[in-house]
Amino acid sequence: MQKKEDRRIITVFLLPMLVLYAVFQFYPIVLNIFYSLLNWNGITKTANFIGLENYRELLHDGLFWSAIQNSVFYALIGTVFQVAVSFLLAYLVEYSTFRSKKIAQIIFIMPIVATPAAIGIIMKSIFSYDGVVNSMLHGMGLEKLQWFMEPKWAFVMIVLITVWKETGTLFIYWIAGFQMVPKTAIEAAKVDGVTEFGFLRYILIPLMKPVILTVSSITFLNALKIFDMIQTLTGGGPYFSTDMISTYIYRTAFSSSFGAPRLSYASAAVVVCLMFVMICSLIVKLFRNQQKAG
Amino acid sequence: MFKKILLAAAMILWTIPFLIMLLIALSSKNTNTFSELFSVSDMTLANFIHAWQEAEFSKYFLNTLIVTAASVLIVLMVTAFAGYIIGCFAFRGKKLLSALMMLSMGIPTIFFTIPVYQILRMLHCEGSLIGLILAEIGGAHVIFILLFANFFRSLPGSLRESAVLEGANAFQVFFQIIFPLAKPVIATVVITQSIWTWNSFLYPLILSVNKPEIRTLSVGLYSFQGENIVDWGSIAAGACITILPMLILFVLFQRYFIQGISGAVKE
Repeated sequence: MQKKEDRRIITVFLLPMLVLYAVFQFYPIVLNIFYSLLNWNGITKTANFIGLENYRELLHDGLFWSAIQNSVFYALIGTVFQVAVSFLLAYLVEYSTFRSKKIAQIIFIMPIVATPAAIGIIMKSIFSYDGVVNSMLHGMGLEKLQWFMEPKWAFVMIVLITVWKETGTLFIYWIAGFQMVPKTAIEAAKVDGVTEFGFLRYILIPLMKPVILTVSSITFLNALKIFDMIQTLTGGGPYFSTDMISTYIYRTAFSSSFGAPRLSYASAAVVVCLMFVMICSLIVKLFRNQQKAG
Repeated sequence: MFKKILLAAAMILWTIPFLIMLLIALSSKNTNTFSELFSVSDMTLANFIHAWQEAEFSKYFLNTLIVTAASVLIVLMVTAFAGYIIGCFAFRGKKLLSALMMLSMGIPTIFFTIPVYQILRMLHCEGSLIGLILAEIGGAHVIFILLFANFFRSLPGSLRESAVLEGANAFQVFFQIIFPLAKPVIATVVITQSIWTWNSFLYPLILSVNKPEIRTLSVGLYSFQGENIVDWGSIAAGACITILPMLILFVLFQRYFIQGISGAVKE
């Protein structure tokens, strides 16, 4: 009697999650594959089946491959900078005699709760031609810069702004990670009179190695997803130099600023990118397993 | 000493963008120029009033509030239910379910947008707040399910057994005894999900394309900026209206938000 009741709750309580998962996670992936075989703009009632034609076109689509290249390049550079800066800041907060640790923590985490799209827009106005930064440079007798008009600068700006924006997430990871460092190791280092650098190099970083690997791989996979900041800062420009996987798909599927939207073509791009991201996750996972074993 | 100076410098650098945003929004000169921002005598709330009334940020605010409240409530219930079952019950297919959940964790939202938009069209709600809420709750929210599962698993089993002995059915046990105990996890889910939904940009952007009346704050600000490129004051005021509520929420409940984020790295 009692057992029967227990079993019924399993179905009832799992159902909402399963329905959401099926409709908004699993089914969309199937639909993507299906759409990618059509010639459809997403609006008309009918569509032609064209097989792998979209994929064949993707192979020769320079913009698509440059978007993938930009995404990977950004994710790599972004990860290196985000990990380094956030680790340094977390280290300074955790292992110094600084009194207002709580305030430091709030300040470094604040950017991650700020709406990314709004931050993009604010940064764009701060670094606009007549903006705060340029007027300061001008005041110091330096030349004004078109920060987002030049491909190289635009890329640098995106990396710097996202370092500021994302540091908080990693900061939280490091602070959690530092709690796992045994107190005895720190005490022993103090007694032995280890230098600051020695402590970092020979004690903290080796002890934190598993955490560092985990955080780096999460950061890399997250960086591949970037959309809000790119769309609001550069829209992928100038000349597609900061175009990423996400902005490419968004533009192709939904925006009519470059001709009519091409929904099924964008679906084919999604399928290719999905496989690419899966391979990336798999490599990251294998790499981590190997590190654990070795 | 050097460490302290470095840290203080970083803290100042990290606050500057927020300060500039506030100063531009409060300046009466509609300026973006460094020297003019610090003239305190010119402070005004005119930009805020303009953004709130004429630029329709009041409407965007209400839309964002509705979408956020509804999404948070649904996500909370769905993840608490699933977490309870995964944490406390044994059933067939449990391993498969966990594997599926893990798999979906790393997939970027952009990959779902094309079919989700079409699914919402089939349901005839692609241009409404309901459609937006559905899109926002559609993610897997795996971290929240795991947080709930771990919490419920840690509770003593005798709690459930004694309640059943007293004649409560399985649902009463959950709603009256188990769920109220999960207050810390509930707070974490509510705070973290509020911030994610409030800040969401991609789905609101796609779904409001022909429906300006369902714009949320982030999209409203984006289109306002597209149409009024040099109206610095109103743009910054709109950005403040968008950003500050979540900043305040975070400062008040930072412990729970930090738990929500660090939950990701432990798994």
